[in-house]
Amino acid sequence: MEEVSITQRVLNDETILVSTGDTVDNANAEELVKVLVSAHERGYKKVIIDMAKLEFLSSAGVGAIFSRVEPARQSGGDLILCNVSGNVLYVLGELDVAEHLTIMTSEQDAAARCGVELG
Amino acid sequence: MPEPLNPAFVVRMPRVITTQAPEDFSVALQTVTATSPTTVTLDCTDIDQVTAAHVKLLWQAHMECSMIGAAVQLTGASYYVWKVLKALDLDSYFKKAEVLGEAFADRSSGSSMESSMVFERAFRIDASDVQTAQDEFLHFLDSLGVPHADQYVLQTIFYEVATNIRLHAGLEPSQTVHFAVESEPERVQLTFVDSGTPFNPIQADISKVTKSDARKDRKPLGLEVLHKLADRLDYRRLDDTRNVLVVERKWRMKEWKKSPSRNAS
Repeated sequence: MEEVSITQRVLNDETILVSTGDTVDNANAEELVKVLVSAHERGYKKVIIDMAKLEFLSSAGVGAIFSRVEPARQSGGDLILCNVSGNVLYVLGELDVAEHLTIMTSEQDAAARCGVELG
Repeated sequence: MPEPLNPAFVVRMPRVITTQAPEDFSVALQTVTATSPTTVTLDCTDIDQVTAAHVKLLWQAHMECSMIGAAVQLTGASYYVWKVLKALDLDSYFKKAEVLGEAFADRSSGSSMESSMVFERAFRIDASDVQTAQDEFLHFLDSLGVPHADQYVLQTIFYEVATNIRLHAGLEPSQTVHFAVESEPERVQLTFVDSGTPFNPIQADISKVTKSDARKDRKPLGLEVLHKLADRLDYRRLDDTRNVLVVERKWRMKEWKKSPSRNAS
């Protein structure tokens, strides 16, 4: 298992891309929350969470993501997931939460939704 | 009839038989037998891979205990330990410690441990050993040819239950949880046995993740995940000392490379 690290990339004044590692669980869900809270406080209304490397998402991870959806939407932005694996999507579906999230196929589509064109 | 575990008469089997291990084991065994117990318990929890050297130590323990008229029982012994002993016609010389044997024989399915256990693992509740046990569980599922989609769901179930026990059962880091898997053509059954505080996940209040307060307050969602992913949950409290949770899920993916009920050994 590779090192689980969360990275960030600013796309424009109001959009930031956050990339997860291969796992978001009890060990690092809090770290993800801190990253999302920090992004919100720095004025990034639109946060794209790129899950291309994500192999396992625990309930703590689901909770961490969900806790930041409302604040983002209340400030006129959104939390957008992209590159979500079939396995993770299945569990999100079983939990009846997928319909409450904005999920895009790729980071390009997610960025386009935020009005950003990725190179 | 297996006797209750007395910590004073428990000798831990080494995980790996190093050069020093047999001598250390002998010293520990002699310390216990010097007190003239009626039963000596060998804790096999640490044995990941049973080797001939382990069998030799087990037999040594049996011989020394026999000399003082003490019986030998095994606790935390995996399916593979018993399989090896049975293959060598040695299993009848050891009793099963009450902690494990009764927990599994008492399940509603009525199946005995030897006939239905396909994967078995005792793990300590520290995060590292939980992860190791999870990896071994996935490796086992992979060896059966279980499709990745089913593997992921079972991994999630294992993680949520193990983490719930780790965080809330009040166990010491060195205490163990016993985990067993029964695989059948139509379904798989996961059993968790722990000696923590009583907790019935079937009756517990479940925070629905989509409720506004659950999202805002970040209430624990592990039970919600468990209830949603399991087709059936069964819980019982044994002897007021152990939680036994059985999680059952029907296989969703029908394309298997190998038979799901194939014995993994």
